[in-house]
Amino acid sequence: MKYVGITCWNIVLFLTVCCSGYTTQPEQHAAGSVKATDVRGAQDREPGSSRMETRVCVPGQVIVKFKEGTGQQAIEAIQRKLHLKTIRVVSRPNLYLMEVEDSSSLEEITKRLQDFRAVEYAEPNYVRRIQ
Amino acid sequence: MAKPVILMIAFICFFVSPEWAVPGSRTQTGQTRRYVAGELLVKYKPRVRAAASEYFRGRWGVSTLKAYQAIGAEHVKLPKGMTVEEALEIYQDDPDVEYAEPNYYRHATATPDDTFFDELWGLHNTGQTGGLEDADIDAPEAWDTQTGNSGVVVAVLDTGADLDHEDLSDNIWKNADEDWVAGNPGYNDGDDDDNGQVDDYYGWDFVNNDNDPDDDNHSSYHGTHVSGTIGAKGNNEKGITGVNWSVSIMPLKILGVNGTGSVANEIEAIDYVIAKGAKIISASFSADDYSHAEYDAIRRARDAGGAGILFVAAAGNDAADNDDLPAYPASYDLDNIIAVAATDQNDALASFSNYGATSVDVAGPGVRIYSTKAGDDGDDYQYLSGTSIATPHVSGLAALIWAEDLEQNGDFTYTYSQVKDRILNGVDVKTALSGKVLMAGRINANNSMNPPANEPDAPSGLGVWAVSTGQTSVNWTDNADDESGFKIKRATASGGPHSHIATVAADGESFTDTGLNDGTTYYYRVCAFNAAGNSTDSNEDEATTLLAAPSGLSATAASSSRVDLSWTDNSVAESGYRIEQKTGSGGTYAEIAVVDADVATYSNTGLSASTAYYYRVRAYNSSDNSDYSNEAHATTPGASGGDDGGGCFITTAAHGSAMGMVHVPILGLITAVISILPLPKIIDLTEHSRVCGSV
Repeated sequence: MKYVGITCWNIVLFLTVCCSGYTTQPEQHAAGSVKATDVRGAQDREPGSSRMETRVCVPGQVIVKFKEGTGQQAIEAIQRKLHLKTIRVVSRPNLYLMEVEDSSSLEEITKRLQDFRAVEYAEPNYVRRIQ
Repeated sequence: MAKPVILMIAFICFFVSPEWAVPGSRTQTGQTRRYVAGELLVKYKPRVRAAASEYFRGRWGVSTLKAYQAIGAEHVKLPKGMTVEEALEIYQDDPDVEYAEPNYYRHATATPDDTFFDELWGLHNTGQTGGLEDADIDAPEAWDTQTGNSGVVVAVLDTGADLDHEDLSDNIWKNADEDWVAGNPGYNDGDDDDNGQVDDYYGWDFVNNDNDPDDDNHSSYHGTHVSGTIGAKGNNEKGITGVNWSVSIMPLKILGVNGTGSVANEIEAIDYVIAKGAKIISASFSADDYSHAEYDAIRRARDAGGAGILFVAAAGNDAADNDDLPAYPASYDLDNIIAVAATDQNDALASFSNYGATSVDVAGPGVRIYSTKAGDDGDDYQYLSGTSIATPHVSGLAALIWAEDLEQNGDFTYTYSQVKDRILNGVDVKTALSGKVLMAGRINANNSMNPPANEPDAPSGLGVWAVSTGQTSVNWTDNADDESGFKIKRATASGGPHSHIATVAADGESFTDTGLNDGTTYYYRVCAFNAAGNSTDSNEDEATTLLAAPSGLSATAASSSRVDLSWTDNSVAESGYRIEQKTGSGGTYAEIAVVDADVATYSNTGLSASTAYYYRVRAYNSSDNSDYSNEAHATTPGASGGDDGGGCFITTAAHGSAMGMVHVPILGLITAVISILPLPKIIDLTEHSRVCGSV
């Protein structure tokens, strides 16, 4: 078969490098708000944005979905193990926004989270921007 | 269809009787009438005119209100109890009748008195900005039917909105579940509606976690602009008008001061919308990263409250193909999402706009759009461009459709799916958008608000032929006279499920499908569509694309008794490759070997020394053989040096190939060096390179 997907892999690689690079603690704003990234201004009255020029996730934050029925104790045990602190519950049931309290990369943390049976999925807190 | 338009206009001037003369008057059920009840305009065929007129009066009890001798037509009144629809059937079936039609209303379209209405080419394009006349969404025509209703709530997930703007303040949502004191917010520091957000009277700021979703995005005041396009107050003698003259905009601030925000904020806002029951989420933001949590939230919105919430999303501004590189949330495979590209004043795709033949649904006006801007005095306006700016035209249209639903039926009865269909099926199909957005068109509010009475007749006689390894040709017979276009549907199994893959303009009877896999069978159906709906599907037909031939065949004499072959596998559907050989250029080809699928090399052994061998290869599967590859040849060296001693061979004769294969057995060092090169020992050498032991 023909080999395709080189472009996609480059992008995956870019994103991985980009997100995993943010290991420093985020500056805390009210309710864990986003320290937002630069988007080209609209002074020129033209739409901004180019796919590669902006940060793609909030540093040090991870969204974790625990499986239905997972108890508070189980969640706290996982948090202790991975040094995660709850910022807030994003959606019920069991969708948490958490902060990484050590120097682990987001890539590493999301990978380790996925290994727990109680975790349905875990992902960086991705950024969206105006178009 | 040759409608007697001039005649019609003459009739209207004379015929509209006083009690029906109010434009767009409503029936008791609130439905807008498009024609006068109990009346018809009829023209009988010339020779039978008097007799036919007499017959209809006697047989059906119609009366002639007025006869127009000069044009041979009559304005007739129907007997009590006979509807216009019933009468049309009777008349149209009669061979003496040339035509019969309702006495349609014609009236001036609703042009609002807003100061800058003339700037809004996207709503009404007269060429005022140098663009193409009617490259717009036909808003004035739609407003004859419906101008919006404050009972429809549109959540704008953005940078907030200028709540005090002169053209927005009346159309900002008010949370009825918080305590109001004589129409003013009570600000009692209490969470009256118990939703976790204290005093959320006008929406919420999820970025700063407070109750003031004001727009602080100083570089563009993005959310304020988007909100204005959806619902800046219309016909108020100031500023602009939105697609809706009145509506309830729920500003939910999820994007911060420089226009970015997190998925976590967005999810909380979506849950807020679900709890509060807005019908539409307008999402003028995106990025590349797939988020499971975001997907789940939009799916929850889809499943909310039975009717579901429509999620209108910007396709993105990277001038990129979302089919290849998705932009989220627009690209999620959820059917409550409408992904929106941007067009300019000439109905061309905007230079910055993302597109996607199947992943972007429609286009809307999005270049130099004038709308509200946040400011101290609440009376600022500005131009912006973007798929962000096209998106609220679509959200606004969805709100208009639901407003009409609310007024006609006294409650919301349309599902997100019905509203989406009305929007998608109502597009003006444009050649420039073919292959760029699924519906190949720009939205048209008038089509969506005033659909034809019936969906078009189904196409028939569908036939499909394979044109090449990657193309098929689809042909059908158009049986409709009121279609907006045709939807091409494709499946990989007989009977489906068929996916809508492309749209062809009205009167089209053919489509070329490209970018297909080779040697694969595809099953097609076609239906006609207009804003009223889709026709039934045509018959199904199928075609199998041709099997792709291998290319770049090269032959290398590896020794006096062996030639190595390699080629490029271009097929995804082969069972294997058949290898043919002949001796000398004048020989006859015979098959010498068959190799498995995905194998692209072969060693031909047991050959004679000092002989020229010619080769060609083709792919095969159970139903087909591909064309042959190029021909390649190699000449085995003389046997004197032995298999291990020759050391210098003339290599391939691959036509058009600059790749040669080198084998230098006498020089162990070089062999070792080449051995550590990745993959096959192929290095780029000019054809017929001679590599002799000159290290």
